Amino acid sequence: MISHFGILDYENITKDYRSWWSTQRFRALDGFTLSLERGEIFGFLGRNGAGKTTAIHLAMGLLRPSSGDGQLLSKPFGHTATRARVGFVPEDVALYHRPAIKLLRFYGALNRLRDPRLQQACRHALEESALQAEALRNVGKFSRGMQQRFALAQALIADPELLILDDPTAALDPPARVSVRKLLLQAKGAGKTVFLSSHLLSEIEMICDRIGILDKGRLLWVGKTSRLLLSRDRCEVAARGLSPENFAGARVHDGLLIIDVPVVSQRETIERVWMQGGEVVSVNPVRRTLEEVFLELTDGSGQAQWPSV
Amino acid sequence: MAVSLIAGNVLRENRWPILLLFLWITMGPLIFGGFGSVRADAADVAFYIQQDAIYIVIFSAFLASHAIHHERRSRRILLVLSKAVSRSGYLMGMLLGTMLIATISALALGVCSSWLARESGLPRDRLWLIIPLLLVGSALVVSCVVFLSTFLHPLLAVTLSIPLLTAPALANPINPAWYAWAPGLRLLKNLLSFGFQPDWTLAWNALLAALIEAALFYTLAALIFLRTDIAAPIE
Repeated sequence: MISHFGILDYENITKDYRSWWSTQRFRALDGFTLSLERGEIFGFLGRNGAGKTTAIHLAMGLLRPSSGDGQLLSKPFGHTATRARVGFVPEDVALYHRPAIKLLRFYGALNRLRDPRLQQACRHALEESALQAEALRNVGKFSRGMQQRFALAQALIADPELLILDDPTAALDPPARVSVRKLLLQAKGAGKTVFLSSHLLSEIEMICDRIGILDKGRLLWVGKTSRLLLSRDRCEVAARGLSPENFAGARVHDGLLIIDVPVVSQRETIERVWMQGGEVVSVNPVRRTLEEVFLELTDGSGQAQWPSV
Repeated sequence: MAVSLIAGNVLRENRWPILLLFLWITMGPLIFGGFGSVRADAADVAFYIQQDAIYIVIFSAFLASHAIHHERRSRRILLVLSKAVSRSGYLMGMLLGTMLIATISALALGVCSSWLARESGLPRDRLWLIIPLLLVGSALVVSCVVFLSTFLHPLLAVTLSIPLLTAPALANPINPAWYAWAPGLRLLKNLLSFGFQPDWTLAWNALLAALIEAALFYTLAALIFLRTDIAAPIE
C-alpha cells in the first residue's frame, strides 16, 4: 500500500493489454512507481509505445491497472468527483462538432460548473487559449492546432489543481507553443501541478522541474532536470592565458579557453594549464541537452545509467 | 445534471437520423389516408401503427448499440469520462438519450395515427395506450442492447438481443409459467393484437415485468462498463 499520498501517485502498477480472442498479452507498464510533488511541472518522456499514455489514462480512470495501486489527489484512480479538480488533454483530441462556446459550456457543466461561474470560466478559458474570436465557430471546422488549443481551454475551465497533458503542443505553431509554455508557467505560479507528456524535448528542458523517462513500461530515470542534464563523465575546464592549439578540441568562448575533458583526466588537464602558464578560471560538469541524454538513456540497454533521485 | 447533458448530446448527435425517422412516421398517414382523400380501414391503420412502432423500437436499438461503440472509436468518450461523470451516469445518459428519441418518435406516431384514425372515422380512445407500450418496449430492447454492446460489437449486440429477450418463451410448451420471463414477447403480442376493437387492453403485467427486466439489464451493463478499459482500442 502507498504510505504517503501526494498529488498523483503510482505504486508498483502493471498494465497488460489482452485481446478478447487470443491469449497473447502486451505489457504496457511494468512495476511503475512515481509520485508527483505539489506545485511542480513534471516532464514525462519516453519513445512511442513506452507506456506514457497508458500511465496517464490509468490516472484518469480510463483504464484499470492489472496490478498495483494509485491515487489521484489522494483518492483512488477513477474516483468520479476528484476528476472535477483535474484538467486533462488527451493525445488525439476528438471533439463534438459544435460552436466552441457551446462545447466549452458542455464540458464545464459536466464538471459541475453552473452559471454565472460557468459563463465566467468559459470566457476566461477562451481568452487563455486565444480562442475568444472563434467562440461561435464550429469546433469541427477548426485546424488541428486550434482544436488542441480548445482542448487546453476545456482542461482549464474548472480551475484545476492538477493538469494532465498528453502531448498538448504537438500540433501547435511556434507562437502558440510559446503561449502554452507561458500558460503552464503561470499555472505553476498559481500553485497548480502539471504532469506533461511531450516529445518536444526542448520544451520539457525549458519548463520542467523534474523529469521521468519511461522505456518499455519501466521508469528508467526520475529526478531534477538540472541533475539529469549535468554529465557525470565529462567536465569543462575554463582557462585564460593559453593558446587553443595546445589543447585538441578546445574552443574559445568570451575570451576563455574551454576544454572539454573526461572527469578522470580533469586533474591532469588542470596541471597542463598551469604548466603552460595559464590560469584555471572554473571547472564545471558538462551540461548536455535533454535530447542527448534521452537518446543515450533509451537507445542503450534500457538500463538506467544514473541512480534515481 | 451530467446524465441529462449526455442524453441531450445523444439527441443532438443523432439529429439527422431522427429527422429521417420523423419524416417516415409523418409520411405514413398521408400515404395511407391518400392525403386526406381516402378513408383507410381499421386494419390498414392498425398495420401502420404496428409497423412504425416496431420500426421505432428497432431504430432505437440500433442507435443505442452504436452510441457507445462510436464514442469509443472516435475517442470522444475520453474527454467526457475525464470529467466528473461516473460510468453508470454516462450509461444512463446514453440510455435516456436513446429513450428521448424513442419518446419523440412515439409522440409523432401518436399524433399522426390519431389524425389518421379521425379521418377514417375510427375510435381513438384506446389508440394512445400504444404510446406506453411502445416506450416500455423500447426501454427493454435498448437496455438489453446497451448491456450487450458494453462487451460486443454493436451489430452482434442487436442480433443477440433477440434470442436473449425471447429465449424464455421457448420453454412455453414445457411450462407456460416461463412465458412470464419473456415480457418483450408479451409486449410484442400485445401490440400485434391491437386493431381498434373495444376489448383490446394493455398488458399491464408485461409492462411491469419489462420495466424490471430493463432495470436489470441496465444494472448489469453498468457493472461491466465500470470494469471496461475505456481508452483501450476496440476490436
